[in-house]
Amino acid sequence: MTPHHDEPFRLHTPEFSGLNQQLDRRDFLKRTASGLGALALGSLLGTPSFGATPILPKAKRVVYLFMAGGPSQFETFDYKPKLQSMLGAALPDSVRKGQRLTGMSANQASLPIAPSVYGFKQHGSTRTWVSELLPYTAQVVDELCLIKSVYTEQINHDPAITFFQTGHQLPGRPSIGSWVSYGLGSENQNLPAFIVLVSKDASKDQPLYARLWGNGFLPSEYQGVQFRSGKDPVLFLNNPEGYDGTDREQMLGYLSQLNRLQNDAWSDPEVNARIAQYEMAYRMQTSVPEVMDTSQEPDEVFDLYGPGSRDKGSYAANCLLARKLLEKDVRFVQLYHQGWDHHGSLPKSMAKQCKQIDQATAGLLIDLKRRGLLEDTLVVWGGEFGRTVYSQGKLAANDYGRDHHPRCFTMWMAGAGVKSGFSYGQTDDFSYNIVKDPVHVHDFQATLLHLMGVDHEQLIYKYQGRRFRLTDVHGKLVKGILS
Amino acid sequence: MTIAEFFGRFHPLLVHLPIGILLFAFGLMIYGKIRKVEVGTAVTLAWLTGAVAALLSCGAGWLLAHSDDYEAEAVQVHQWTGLATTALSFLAYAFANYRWLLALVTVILLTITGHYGGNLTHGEGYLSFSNRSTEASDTTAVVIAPEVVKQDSSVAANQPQVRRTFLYRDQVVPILEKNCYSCHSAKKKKGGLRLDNEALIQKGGKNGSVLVAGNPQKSKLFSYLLLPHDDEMHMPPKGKRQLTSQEVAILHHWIAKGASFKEEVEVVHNQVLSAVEALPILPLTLPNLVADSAISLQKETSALVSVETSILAKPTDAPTASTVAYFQQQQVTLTPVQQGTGYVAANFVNVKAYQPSMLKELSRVQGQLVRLRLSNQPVRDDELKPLSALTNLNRLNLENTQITDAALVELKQLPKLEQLNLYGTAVTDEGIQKLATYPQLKVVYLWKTKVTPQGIERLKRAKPTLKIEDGQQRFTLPDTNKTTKTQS
Repeated sequence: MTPHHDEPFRLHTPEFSGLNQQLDRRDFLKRTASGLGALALGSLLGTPSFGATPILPKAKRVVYLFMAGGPSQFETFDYKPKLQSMLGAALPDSVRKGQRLTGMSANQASLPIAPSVYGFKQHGSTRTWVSELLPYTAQVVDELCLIKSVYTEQINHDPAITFFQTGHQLPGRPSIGSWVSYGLGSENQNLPAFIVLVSKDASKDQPLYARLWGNGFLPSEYQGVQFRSGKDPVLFLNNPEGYDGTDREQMLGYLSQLNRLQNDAWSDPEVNARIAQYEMAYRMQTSVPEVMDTSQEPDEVFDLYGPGSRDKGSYAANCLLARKLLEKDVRFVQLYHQGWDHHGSLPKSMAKQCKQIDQATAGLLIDLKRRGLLEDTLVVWGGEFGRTVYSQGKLAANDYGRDHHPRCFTMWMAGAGVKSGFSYGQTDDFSYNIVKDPVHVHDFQATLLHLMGVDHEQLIYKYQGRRFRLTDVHGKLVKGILS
Repeated sequence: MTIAEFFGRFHPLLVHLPIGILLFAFGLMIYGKIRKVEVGTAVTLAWLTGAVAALLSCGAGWLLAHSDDYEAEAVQVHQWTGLATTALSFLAYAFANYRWLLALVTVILLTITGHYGGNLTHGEGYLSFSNRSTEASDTTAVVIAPEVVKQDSSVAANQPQVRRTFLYRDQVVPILEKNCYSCHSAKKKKGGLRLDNEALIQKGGKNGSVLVAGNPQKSKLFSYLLLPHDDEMHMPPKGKRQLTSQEVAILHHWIAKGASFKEEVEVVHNQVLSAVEALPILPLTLPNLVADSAISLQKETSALVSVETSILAKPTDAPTASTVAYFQQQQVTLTPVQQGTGYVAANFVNVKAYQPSMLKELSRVQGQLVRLRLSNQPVRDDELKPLSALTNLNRLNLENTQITDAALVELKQLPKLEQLNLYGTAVTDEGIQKLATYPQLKVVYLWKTKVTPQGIERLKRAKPTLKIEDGQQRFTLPDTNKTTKTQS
């Protein structure tokens, strides 16, 4: 075994080295297993903190609404009125500046500008422009912190979404939720710290894969656990047929004894992960059915989230479920809604997509707010990249497509620690380049961690001889959006 | 900054070379003598290197001394001993025969030079044992103590009495002395600023005045303290001892009251000046004073905006391991509010079998508990009594518990409570009017209670600053053909 496996954890800051001396490894694991994260422990034992000033966490929980496929900024939040007069005109080279295009539109004879067919109106006390496709979101726009200047380095789905989730374009690194769960642990002992919900009602034009919420090289108890809508919300959690489960606890007791013996001999963190997972699974046998049961929710709540919310597994139902999980202090809930990859007939598909998510998203915000959860929950909405100003394929008056565009797109955050009713960043008249306050994917990740009280440069895991971070060697805190 | 100043600033770095090398050379001589080994060549080389390094740092020091930051007199001794050390070290290199004597004198001079240099950088008295241990006086509330001129103790209550305060001498000077003098006084006047007497404070520094009497926001003496720590202009600079929130508050108070350098005499009529009442205790809620500063300060000051921040600014011990273990066993999750602090949040989300006694046990963390989440537990009014001892409780979640109006009387005792979640409880219009008397309350959640819009209206009138979340926001149904207007 390489020696680093003997270190109880790898946050290499002075306060932890003190802690390492105070506790032997078994002691540490016992404590972390019972719900106190690594950071939590360090400070509970009163080890003074040196170095960087500690950050006061504003967000205790995160719900990340991932719009997989790359929603168009032109039909949602980035209002570009000047384009209306340029319908069909070629995209000027001075704007494109030789930017690489995907293989899908690189060989097109022309790149005709396609203004949005959908209108925009100003909403809320901040008079923020929102597309008519999002009439419900428009009603909560005063809660949002729009970031119109996000950019990424990737132009295709797989690397772009992997980049967003893990900070690197190649698979194999831990997802944001895993990092957070590793760094902060969970306050709820009966549910995983990182839970994933995938909409069943979205068109599956681009695949999602479990590695997007994988733990990478972190111990495997930090991976995202997907809750499904069917009979078994979590696979393999129920007792097998013909077994009543009465001696389950005893059985697990013996098993964990065996595992501990194994662990004494091998000191492999995966053995501990296995022990923790068995114990968690046992507790989840009661906690999961409880939290998945929405039958006690009043009609008013279903009305708030919209008609889809009674259909388990839909985006709306997942939003409602997300609220229930957040109420239980689950640390990181991530929803995925696919179907935003509109290379052709965008106006029609966009209307359908927006309708699927609009009311439930706004409903989630209202529901969190009135329960007092929005003050310490961060809500994030966004895809892996934006879309081009020019039409991919033929441009007709009411029909066009848009190709992938990494150089600027819109996301929003709401709730804990971010300004509300605020727009950050600005794109040019073509929403092709950023003219003010660019926010790189790593900047977004650094900011998310900061809001949770973690310095992205301190959350480190040593693996295969080097130290890894979510933000690699990059990432700047976006101070402009912090409240 | 001129080129000369730029190189001058390398002096504090460079000086460590001759110190190290010359001491090493001397050490090597002793070593050679004791172990009887031949070290001659090495010693000669070491003396030469040390002497050259000393010369270089003299050069840099010369440039530094001629920048505006230092008083010429203060530098004198350091300068001449430094030059002497350099000269002697060259001699020690050149005259191997007298080396022992020369080396001994050099080392002594070196020590003296170093000491005076240290005084210049860190302030006089940096090395002395006394005066340094007075820092432990971070009290909860700062008492800007005016001396009450005690008249005859039998004086009738209605007689006018005299109250004397000398804020500048008693409160302000000690703060400046402790935090500012090392760079802004006779020895060293960074930015041309000296803070060690009235005239010089009034005069300000190179970039103008630092004090605008009556206006803390415009006074750099105050506003620079609030800049984010990584801001270049933040004072005291990174790495130096930072002012406590109390000290910041005192400076604010002093400037806001007119920044007087004199003793204030006040005649107080018709008031019983009992020992306690005589002392106006500053509500040291930084937020109050920062809230208005924040608007005028261009830079971000959010770090100081909440009561919570001011609680956390005061150091506390972490709960003991046995306390943590106790709560763990009760399924109560205890987490620190932020990394490295002793203040904690207690969460009852995992508690399966709630017992009223669990609230009593919170006294184990009574000074440290900042947030408490009792959501969805069958908590009753009379069980909340122990909560009134939680003097630092800042956020309290009581949603979906069984409490009623009676609980709101009890909770009034909490001096630092800012956020209170009452949604899903049986509180009524009558009960919530008590919230107006909560000293620090900023946010209250009242969705799904027995409260009516009229009750909320009344509360709003009584406490206009309170943010009330009643959960009444509804969607207007969008027309499929037209976009809708928002309601808010």
